[in-house]
Amino acid sequence: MSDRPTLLDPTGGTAIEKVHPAKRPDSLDGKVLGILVNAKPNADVLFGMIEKRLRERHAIKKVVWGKKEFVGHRAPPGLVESMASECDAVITGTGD
Amino acid sequence: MAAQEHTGDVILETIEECFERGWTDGLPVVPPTPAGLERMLRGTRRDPQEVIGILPPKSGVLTVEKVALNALMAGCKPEYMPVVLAAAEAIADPVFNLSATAISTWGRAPLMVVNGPIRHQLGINSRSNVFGPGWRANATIGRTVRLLMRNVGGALPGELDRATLGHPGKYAYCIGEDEEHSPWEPLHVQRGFPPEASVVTVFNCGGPHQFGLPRGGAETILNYLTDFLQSLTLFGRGGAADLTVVLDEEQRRILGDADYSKRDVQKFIFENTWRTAGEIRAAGSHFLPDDSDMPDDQRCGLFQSEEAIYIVAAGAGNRFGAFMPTSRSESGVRGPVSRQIEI
Repeated sequence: MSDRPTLLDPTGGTAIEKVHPAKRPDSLDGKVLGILVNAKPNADVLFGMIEKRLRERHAIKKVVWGKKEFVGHRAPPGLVESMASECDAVITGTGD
Repeated sequence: MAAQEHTGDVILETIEECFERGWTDGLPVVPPTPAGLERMLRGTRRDPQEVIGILPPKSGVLTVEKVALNALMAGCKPEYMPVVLAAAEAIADPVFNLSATAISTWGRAPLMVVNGPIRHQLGINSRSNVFGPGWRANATIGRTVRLLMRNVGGALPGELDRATLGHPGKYAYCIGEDEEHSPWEPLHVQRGFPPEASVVTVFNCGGPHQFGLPRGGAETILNYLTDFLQSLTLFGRGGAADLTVVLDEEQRRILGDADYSKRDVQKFIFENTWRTAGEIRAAGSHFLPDDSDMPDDQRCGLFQSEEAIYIVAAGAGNRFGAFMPTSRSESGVRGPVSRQIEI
């Protein structure tokens, strides 16, 4: 029989409600594609390559580029919202 | 004797259980028992369920009770609670930009600087061996912030905390300012608080780069420091940033006797830390934007402004100081955060 004391949990719950990934488009043909660059060196090179490849394979209507001002800061106010409203799909990630 | 051994086993098993549950920074913790929590909460009048902030990266809900549990585990006394709560509020302030501190490959940590009478009441060291071990208040208040980042914020090393190297200040990084042996205005007064207030200020800092100094006057000290700072290594990616400098008692006395104010020291460092655009490019740095057309002979300042250089009086002894690379601030948006400590 254990007589260890009760331990209280020092970890915190999360303030984030469960979210689900956005619905993926079946095709990029005729769609507006957003590219959100994280401002790391060479990220623009990496995403430029991705844009080129995707344009070769799909009849993308338009590509909208967004860029964070500084890697250690969040995207400037309004950028995420404006890309979400303008684009059918957005690609983001870390280049370095 | 047998009963004592049994009790000892239970204590060790309980400490081991805390390791197994993933609650520690790698060192043993005081087990977070209900009795311990009750004792720790005697250090504050605040409601245990009060939410004092949300900690990135996992958006952990930071309550007074969670602060008390982690302070207990870190080894704090109940009377440290007001400092710990103020520090917790400061790192949770969105202006501090904790998400970058917590997860970056840079591996920085919140450096806490405490001002005011609370330093003496709690024994917060501001003098000899100021970054070193030996002072319970510095060690355990500093450690509490790390445990909160881990346990509430979810900044687990190797998982969401992606630091390449990290630094020892990630265990505990808390110092007092040596106001009594300084010719200068204390940090908290510079930041708008009354002299009699107790205040904690958090900076987003790399580890301390120490420098010892030869004999000489005020300009020798400052030339020596700026020469160290002008290393191309510090002209890293992303352009001009901020700096925190700790100067020991003797350096402060020499500078003060030569009528250098903190502001003068900031100005000297700002004006004397630059390299040319050509040198920076040749070093392969990303300090300048890739599309920069700046001429090769143009000077590039290492820091973004005089105000982005923070001078802290700490350390006693023989002409040793330290500087800490500090995350870039943005006026009114991001930067160091100060909180008054409510007793």
